[in-house]
Amino acid sequence: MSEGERTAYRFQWKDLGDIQKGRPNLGNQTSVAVYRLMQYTMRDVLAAKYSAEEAKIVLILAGKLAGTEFCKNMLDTNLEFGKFIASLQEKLKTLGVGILRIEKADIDTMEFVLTVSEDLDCSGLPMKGETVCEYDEGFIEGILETYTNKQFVVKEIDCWATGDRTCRFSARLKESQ
Amino acid sequence: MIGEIRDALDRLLHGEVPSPIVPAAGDDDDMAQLCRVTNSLIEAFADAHDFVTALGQGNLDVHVPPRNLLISPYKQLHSNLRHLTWQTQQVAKGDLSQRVDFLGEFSEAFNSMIDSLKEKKRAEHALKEANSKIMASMRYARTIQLSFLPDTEEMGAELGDFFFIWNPKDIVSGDLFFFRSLNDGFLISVMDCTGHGVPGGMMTMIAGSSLSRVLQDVGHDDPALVLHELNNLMRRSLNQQSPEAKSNDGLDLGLCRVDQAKGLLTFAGAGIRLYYSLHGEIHEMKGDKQSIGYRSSDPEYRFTNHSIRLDPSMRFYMNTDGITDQIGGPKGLSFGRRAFTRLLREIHEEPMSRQKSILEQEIAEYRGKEVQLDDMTVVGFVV
Repeated sequence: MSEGERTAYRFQWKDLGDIQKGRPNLGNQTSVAVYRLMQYTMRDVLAAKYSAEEAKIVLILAGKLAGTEFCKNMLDTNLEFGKFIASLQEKLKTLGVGILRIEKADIDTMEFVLTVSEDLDCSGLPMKGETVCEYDEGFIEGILETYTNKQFVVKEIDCWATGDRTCRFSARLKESQ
Repeated sequence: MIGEIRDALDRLLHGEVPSPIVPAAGDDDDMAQLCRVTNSLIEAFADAHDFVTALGQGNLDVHVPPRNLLISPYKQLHSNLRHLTWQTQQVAKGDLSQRVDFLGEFSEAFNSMIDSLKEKKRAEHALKEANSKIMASMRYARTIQLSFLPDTEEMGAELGDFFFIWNPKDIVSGDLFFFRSLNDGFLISVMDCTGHGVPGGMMTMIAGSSLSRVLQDVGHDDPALVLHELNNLMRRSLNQQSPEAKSNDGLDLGLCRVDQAKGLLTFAGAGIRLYYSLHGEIHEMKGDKQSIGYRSSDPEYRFTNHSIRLDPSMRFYMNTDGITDQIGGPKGLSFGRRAFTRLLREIHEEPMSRQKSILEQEIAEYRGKEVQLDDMTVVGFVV
């Protein structure tokens, strides 16, 4: 199979490189604008080259892969749910990703409602009239699936880009399970 | 139309929700557009009104109107309140890893509460651990104390029938009973030392050893003399001869010497009495009111021997005051000696094992939900 035909992901955490070594002076931090510049230009190119819908799907899948790897490499999946969420909150805050808050968590039915304030992807964006945090949807999906070993559907309900002050997501098990 | 729109806006400004405006057939595009925008505002206001009212009433399960920019800050508040509710529920379940960030003074208050709870949990854990060690130590002390009690096989070989109830208040007892076979009979004794639990247990070790020492010194034929000597030895052992002594501990004791060759029982008591049955009645031999070993116990005091000729039908009983002083019953009064004597009168003809069961049951029923106040010991025997 050629490079262009493969379907399995090959990303590994070590692909992020040795940042300390590579950036001894500039260090580990960059600006939110630079991050958004990359994401929104890539989104634009994907939408133009394929379609807006395809671009969204790619962003969800990329977010999911990132969430999965983030969970595997940065979080302790052996913690009980409350402690796991507390550690995730702390990690997202420390890394400047956003302020995660759980609104509802039903462990029996695996239904969750959570919010991310000061979100890296969207907080402060101009009004677009539609949600834009597809990457976050995938990211949360990846984390939940890695922690629970079950498949989830995560949907953004409210978003800064729709005029809300915080991004709200619902997460539930995929119906086929 | 303008008038209707003005009235609608006026009602909105007064917090009321007007009915939607119906466009008139002849309105131009601008007017129709104004009508649509006004109706959108009315609809958004109506949704916002319901949402904010429910939120104000603490109803956090209220439907959140989507894409309604009038209520954006309230949605953020709603989200924060829902999150705090969830976090509080987690804390109530014992998860103290929760923290609240970026919610001003509330964050400080909540996080400070969590820190206090963590400190309390740490203290509780330390207390549980200490308690667990103490309890393990107490259980082992009980094992040692049990090995100090008389050998029931030896008692069974000597006595026609017998029972004993030895029921400590706190795992280890301040009560002890003593039995020794002799060539022509036996000695039997019940002791009630100061306190219960560990201090009481230590006192029983001292009292039991001292009694053995006194018997070695003065023999076993004169219970009153044994009590006199024990009184002085205990006072010396506990350094309580001086009125300035710091401790003031001692014991009550009843001692029976049974001489089977002579068919005689001799009893001497220090605060403990001997009950015996004869011709269907319960009689008492009152011991002296002088306790043993206390700083206040008179070292010159001479105890009294009481003798009785043995009859095969007789049943003998000695007890500590843990039973008679036990609070319970409908009035919360002590069980009392009178009830104890009446009970013995009712049951003394039963086999000893049956008497034990009845006594235990009666005391437990009388006690009910009251705590056991003291160690309880009863010894019953047939010669």
